[in-house]
Amino acid sequence: MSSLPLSHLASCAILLVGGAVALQAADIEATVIDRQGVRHEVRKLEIRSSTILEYYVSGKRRRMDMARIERIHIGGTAQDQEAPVTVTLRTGRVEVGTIIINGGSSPHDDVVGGGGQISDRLTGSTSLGPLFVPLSDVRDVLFLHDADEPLVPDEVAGSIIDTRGRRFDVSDIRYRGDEAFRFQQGRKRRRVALRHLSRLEFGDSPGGEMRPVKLTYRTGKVVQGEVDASTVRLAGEGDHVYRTRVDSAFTGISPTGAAFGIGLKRVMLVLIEHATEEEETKADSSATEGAAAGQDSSSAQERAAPQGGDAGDG
Amino acid sequence: MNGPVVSRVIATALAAVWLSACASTGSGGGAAYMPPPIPEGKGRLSLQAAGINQLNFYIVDDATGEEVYEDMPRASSRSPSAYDSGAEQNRLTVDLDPGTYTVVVNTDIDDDVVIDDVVVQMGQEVYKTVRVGRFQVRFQGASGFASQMPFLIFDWNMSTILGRGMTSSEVRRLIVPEGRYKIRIENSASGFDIIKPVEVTFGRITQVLIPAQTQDETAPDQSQQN
Repeated sequence: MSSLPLSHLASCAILLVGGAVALQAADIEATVIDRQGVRHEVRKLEIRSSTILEYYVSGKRRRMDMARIERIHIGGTAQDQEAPVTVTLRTGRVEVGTIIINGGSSPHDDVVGGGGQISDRLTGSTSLGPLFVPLSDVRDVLFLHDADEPLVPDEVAGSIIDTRGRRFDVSDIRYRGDEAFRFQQGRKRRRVALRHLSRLEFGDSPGGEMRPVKLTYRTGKVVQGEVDASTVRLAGEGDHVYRTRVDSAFTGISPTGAAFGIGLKRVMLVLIEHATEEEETKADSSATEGAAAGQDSSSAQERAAPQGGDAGDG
Repeated sequence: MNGPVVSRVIATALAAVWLSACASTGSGGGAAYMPPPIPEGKGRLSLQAAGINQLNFYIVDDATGEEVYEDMPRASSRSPSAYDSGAEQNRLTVDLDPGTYTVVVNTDIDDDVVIDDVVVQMGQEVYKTVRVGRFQVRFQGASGFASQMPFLIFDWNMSTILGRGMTSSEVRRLIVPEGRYKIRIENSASGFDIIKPVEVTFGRITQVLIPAQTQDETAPDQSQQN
């Protein structure tokens, strides 16, 4: 009689622990260093109540999941509204751009009523209690990731074939500046990362506004949808934004190093190359080594930075 | 000895049946106001969006990658006939099989809100917060002017169009992830062109007020000031 309740208890405990582990997997841990050089070991880290960091690279918006970031360095001064930021990804890729801090200085007659202002804060939990740091006071964020946490490739390469049959080899393929392809299925909007796809086939549409698209996943699964390929200029759309939307839906880098862009009107087929398992294993190991080397260099920079700060203070 | 015991048991059972029958044959109003029980073998997921009762969202089973639930009750943000009702029923509660899921919430711009690793356990209710806010564009003065005017939603740098909207004489709030945006309303026929910053925070409704004064109307004011 007693063995049955015990087994039930054990299974319940396993379920609870499993649930807790699954929930904790989404938590972000990091070491936060403020502009005075004070270090904080932080759990459940969030910036602006989110685990997605928003910044701008060459004027284009980037939204990066913190699970993919190795390190963030915010330069400038605490008074900057657009502070320079360097984001080092776990793959070793470094992105230099700007981050909007204290951007909420809109006049009162612009936005009134029940709206509040975005709190530009970094929040989290420490062993001493909750932590709230204004983002303008943060200098470095060094993320701690599990070694078994898989690396997400930050770029895909492949070939893009236009309606005339010309084929272009392109690396770092992005769709409207994003790593994911967005399409519609009726009223439903879907978003799938390009790295999960192997082929995008665009069909003809009589009206030309919406083009049908057939997506083939790496797994072989095929999904159909449609994308907005309209070339009508919207009211309020500036020249650069319009040109980018119409002529540069897919962007990338050509083998010569030049920027590549093609609009949805002219694209017919996108073939995405995927590395074999052996190549992926090699890439993972090299990336891990690179990240370790990067960590060494970053720690060297950390060692150097306080010295510089001391010298400056002195 | 057995006779009285048996009769007592029977009497007790009859009394219990009678009491339960009384409890269940009431008006039923009490049960109607309570959330329905979780179906057997399932768990419950409740999304918390701080006062928002309806969202366009779908749920993907992490184990299979298949979509197991979807609800798309909200009309497009640029639909001229869409408006918010005060009598919206809450549709953010879903009963699911135990498992781990990903919830994807479609907002009125290109950015979705994705909630990963949602663990649903049998017989239990799990609450997840969807960090979205709302904003509404309203015109001040000049009744009838620009009751329906399209506008664009940009990122803060105004380098990318994130979505499109339509002003309305009815209550029409756009749901977006909390953050900073800019909206631009342009009407070349009337020379109306305005850019407004919008800050959207979780659980609040940002009202963007736009003075609906044409250039002809503003000219006398300027002359009076001079």
